[in-house]
Amino acid sequence: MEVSEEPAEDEMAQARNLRLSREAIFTYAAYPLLLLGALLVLPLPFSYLGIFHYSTVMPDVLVISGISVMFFGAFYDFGAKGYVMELIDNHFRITEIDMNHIYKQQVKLMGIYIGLGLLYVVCGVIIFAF
Amino acid sequence: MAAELIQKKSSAQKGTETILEVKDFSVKFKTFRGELNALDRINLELKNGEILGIIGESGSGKSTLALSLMGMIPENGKVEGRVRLFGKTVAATDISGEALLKMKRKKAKILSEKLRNIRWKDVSMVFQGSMNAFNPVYTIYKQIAEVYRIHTDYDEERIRKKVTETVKRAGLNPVILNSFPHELSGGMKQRAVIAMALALNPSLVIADEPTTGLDVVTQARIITELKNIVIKRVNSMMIISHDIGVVAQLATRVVVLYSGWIMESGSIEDIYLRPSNPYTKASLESYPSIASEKIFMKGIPGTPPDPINPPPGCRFAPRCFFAREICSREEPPFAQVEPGHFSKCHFAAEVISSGGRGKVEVKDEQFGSGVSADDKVLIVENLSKFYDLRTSLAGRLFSRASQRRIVRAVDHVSLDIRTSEILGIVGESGSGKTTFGRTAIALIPSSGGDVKLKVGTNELSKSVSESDGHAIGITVGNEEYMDVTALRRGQRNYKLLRKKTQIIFQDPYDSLDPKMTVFDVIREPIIAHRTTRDPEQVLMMVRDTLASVKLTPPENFLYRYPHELSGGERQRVAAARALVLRPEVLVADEPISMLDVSLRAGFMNLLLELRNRFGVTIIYITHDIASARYVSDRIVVLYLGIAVEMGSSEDIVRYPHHPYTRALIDAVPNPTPNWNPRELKIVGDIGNAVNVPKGCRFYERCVYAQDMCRVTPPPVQTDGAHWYLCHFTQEQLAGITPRSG
Ligand SMILES: Nc1ncnc2c1ncn2[C@@H]1O[C@H](COP(=O)(O)OP(=O)(O)OP(=O)(O)O)[C@@H](O)[C@H]1O
Ligand code: SF4
Ligand code: SF4
Ligand SMILES: [Mg+2]
Repeated sequence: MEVSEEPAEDEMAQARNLRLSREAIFTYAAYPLLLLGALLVLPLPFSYLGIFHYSTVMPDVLVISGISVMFFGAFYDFGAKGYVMELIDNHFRITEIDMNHIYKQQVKLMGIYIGLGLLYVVCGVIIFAF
Repeated sequence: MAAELIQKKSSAQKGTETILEVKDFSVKFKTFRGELNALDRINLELKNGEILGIIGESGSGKSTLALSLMGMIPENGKVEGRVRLFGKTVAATDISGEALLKMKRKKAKILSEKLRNIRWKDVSMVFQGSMNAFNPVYTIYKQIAEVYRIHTDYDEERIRKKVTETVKRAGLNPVILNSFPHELSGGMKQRAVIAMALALNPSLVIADEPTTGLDVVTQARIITELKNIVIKRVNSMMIISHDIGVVAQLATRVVVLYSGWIMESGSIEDIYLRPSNPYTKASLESYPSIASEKIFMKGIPGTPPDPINPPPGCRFAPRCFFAREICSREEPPFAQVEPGHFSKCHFAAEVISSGGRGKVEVKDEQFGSGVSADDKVLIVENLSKFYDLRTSLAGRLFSRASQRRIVRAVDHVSLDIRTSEILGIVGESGSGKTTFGRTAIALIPSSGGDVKLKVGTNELSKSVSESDGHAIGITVGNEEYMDVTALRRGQRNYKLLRKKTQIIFQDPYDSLDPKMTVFDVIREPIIAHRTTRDPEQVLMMVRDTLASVKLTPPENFLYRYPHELSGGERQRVAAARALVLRPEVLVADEPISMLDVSLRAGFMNLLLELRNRFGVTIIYITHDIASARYVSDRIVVLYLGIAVEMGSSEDIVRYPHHPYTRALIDAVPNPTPNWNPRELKIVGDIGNAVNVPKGCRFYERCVYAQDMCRVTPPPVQTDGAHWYLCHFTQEQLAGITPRSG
């Protein structure tokens, strides 16, 4: 037996949820950004020591990493399965609307990851051009 | 009434026509370790109108037998003998298992065509665990329609009509057709599976463990459903289960399997009232029932045989209380003891004349008592545990704004646990049993409330800092307690808590590290708590503990790895690890639910004995009220995080007061032939602990609910030691006409 009526949501709760969900998106987006930063910075000392040519090696590395990030974004579920399992374990009712919300969030993140992947590629191109 | 109808129906048609004939049928599987004899020279007949129950524990060959009837023997199987269904051979040496690999393409195709026609139309099967086998990405409609699409040439229109009809007849609302499997509860999914099996009106339905994994209330409903099906829809049915209580309610004839052998077969009365095989008898005597007096269950010693190297002679001989010298030498014949009643035992005649359920005198020391109501080891006050699913990253990302995501897993539970008592915690899945057990000993932090654990004077360490020791120690009456909920990990007293409280987990397969020997597993806590460093003494402690959990001689077990142990032995090792430091409180979380049926009684007796010998207090968590009644002194019933009733276990079972407890008790199957569950006075399924009603938490499922129940939380009704949470006294409840469930 389910509770038929969900309690009317006050604006506070909505705002809070929006904030939480934004935070989560930023956190997910932060990982590839941090990785990009690390990729750009970490090899610098080695290239400075003359171990390899930054401008010839890095574009390839960045393009490959960028594509990997895009693929990752396209195939990873961002923890959706675990979340749904958790709901099921706790006897939640999961409706079409919930599923759509989950898909929507996934698509958003996928878009962000593809965008970030492109950013990698752009960085690669810039380094190549200079 | 249903049983009478089944009886009538079956007797009317009895003896008409044999629909299933299994003749000298054996299945051997090739495995890495050698040949495994899953079924050994089985002979079986099913007449039109019969409901055949197959009982056996895990690994006895039940599922293999069912698959054989469908002609679905895995390709590593070697088959002898044959199975004929409606006069057609569905399994035989040259057409099943291994033989398929060598078969010519064309012949194989004809064969599979033939089998496909038999499946679903003549015989269909509800597979073990199939409610979890729905494809999660298709709607229920699509999956049921598939059956029609493959096996008939109906057009879309007709299929839609048929599918709707089918689910309606299974007692489901057609609305669910557009749902995805995850939206349905276990019970609804199981109904959908049954609906699917009935789709093409087969003459025989095989149901393999149709109620395993369901809550007891749902189980009772599915059984009623199956009964109706037998009465109205199909001619014959085969019910396969490890649970003799479930089979008792449905079958008219029963076959008992053990290690690939048919140990006994006969009418349901033959088997349950006049068992002629020691295995059947011992199984019946180890099944906890709530209908009769509490009697001591001996259990079956030892473990089921290794299917690759079964013992010579009778396979049950090493565990049989009747065994004589001849048993380990000669295989017993499968012989008739009475008309229609067969048994595979050298001494069948003697066993049958030794009477039904053996009267074993209840000795108080077996169950133990002498628990003092004033001596409390654990005081739980308003203990709560709420989970916010939004704390995880994925939770925050995927939660919808208009949804509450706070699960009230345990909600203000207060109770005292007495020194050396066994307290049973009973409830459906999702009622918060496990969470309660874990928060009570601070294995997971609580969200509110207090738990106090009794300690000896000066046992608390105050050396870390005076204030810390002070905050943790509390005096109640003349006793010292430690405030468990105020403890933080890393504090010195936290170690004391861990030493005094231990837990046994449900799954003996998960809870032991496969890379550690039994010795290492049990030694671990000794090392972690720096109890002693003397290797001699460590060995002594480990051996003593092994002996106390009946793993004797300990030398045989010390250096074995978990995978070399049976489930029951593993659970004993888990118990030994929990007991090695002589804890005062032991939480046993569903310790027997993963064990073979024949091993359960033994483990329950072990818990009783441990309490009696060492005075350990045990919190026994279970969904099975019959086993809780057997081991515990008192029982508390949880519903959606709330304790709704508590009392001595006999009181709870004999005089349940809360409407929920009453329904739970009514739903428990009883191992007597043709037993009918009482009409269940409960509505719907257990919901979630999120949007809980303001008033009584049981409101939506309660058949006695009144308006006030919706908004006002109920008070405690009590007559001394037995209390329940409800607005109404027993007399008042008797005056309310229940709404229908
Ligand atoms: N395909 C297979 N290959 C090898 N061994 C198998 C195979 N299928 C089953 N077995 C073995 O055959 C024996 C009988 O298995 P079966 O599944 O029929 O038991 P069961 O009585 O249905 O048990 P449960 O109650 O656990 O479902 C077991 O020892 C099992 O491990
Ligand atoms: S043959 Fe012997 S060992 Fe086997 S069941 Fe009968 S008495 Fe027991
Ligand atoms: S308080 Fe009302 S709803 Fe709750 S159990 Fe009692 S009668 Fe049922
Ligand atoms: Mg099985």
